[in-house]
Amino acid sequence: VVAVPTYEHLIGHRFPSGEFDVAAHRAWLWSHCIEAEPSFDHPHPSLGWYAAMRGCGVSIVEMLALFEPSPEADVVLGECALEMVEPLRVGTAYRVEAMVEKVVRKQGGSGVFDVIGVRIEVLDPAGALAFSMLNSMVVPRPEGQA
Amino acid sequence: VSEPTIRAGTRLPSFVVAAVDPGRMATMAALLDDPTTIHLDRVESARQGFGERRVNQGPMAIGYALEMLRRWTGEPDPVTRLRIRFLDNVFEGERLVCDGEVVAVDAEAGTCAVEFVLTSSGRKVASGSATVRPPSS
Repeated sequence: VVAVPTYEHLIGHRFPSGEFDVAAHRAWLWSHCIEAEPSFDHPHPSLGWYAAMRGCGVSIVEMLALFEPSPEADVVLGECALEMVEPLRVGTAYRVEAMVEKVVRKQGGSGVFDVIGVRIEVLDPAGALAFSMLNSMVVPRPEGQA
Repeated sequence: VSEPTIRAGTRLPSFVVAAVDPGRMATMAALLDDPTTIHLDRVESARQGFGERRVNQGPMAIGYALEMLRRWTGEPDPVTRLRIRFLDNVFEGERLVCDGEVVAVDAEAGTCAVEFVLTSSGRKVASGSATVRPPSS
């Protein structure tokens, strides 16, 4: 077995914050994509996921680079927990902040893997929390297998 | 005394996507600035081992589940919390169905807990739970 570096020391790491503008055309297109009635005025509640991912200041690839995923194994989004505090509003620019909340090494049937939890918060212009989510991504560690 | 309309065991109307549309995948990829080619191109999808069908973006399932809950309640923002596990891929052209059931009612909070499952061409592709303000009647 080759020792695999652990990444628990990254818990608490904050990514650069960013901004997401809930533009009317984005609200419309997002609803269209998920087979909801498109609206320029009222964003679909799932748009929070979009705001969080696009506004957090880094791409998912850049986010994951911190955890040095193996090029031989695909990272998958395992689970997502969302909290919708207040509906997002069209024409509003939200600040988005992301940080590493959990890093857990596990051993499963397919070998060793890390579950990386990144918390992303979407804050309204007054700084109040509007939307929060915890993305749990599974990073296989094939070099750690027996 | 009338029985509550919403109770544990109440089944929600299913949300159905008759055929998952690759055009919407392409629009989603543009919105997300997502360079992943399996959402866009059948040849690339086949080359990467998914067969000659484009692969739907996983988080679309969040939208489908929330849309089922919106249609059930008739409210635009009825959900306060939602947790979802992604279990399998969804491919273009597949029939996707989201089913849900009330598992608990919190009368004091005015909410109920719903568990849901998404299947695509019969395969379970996602499952989860949500806290929902149910329809009033």
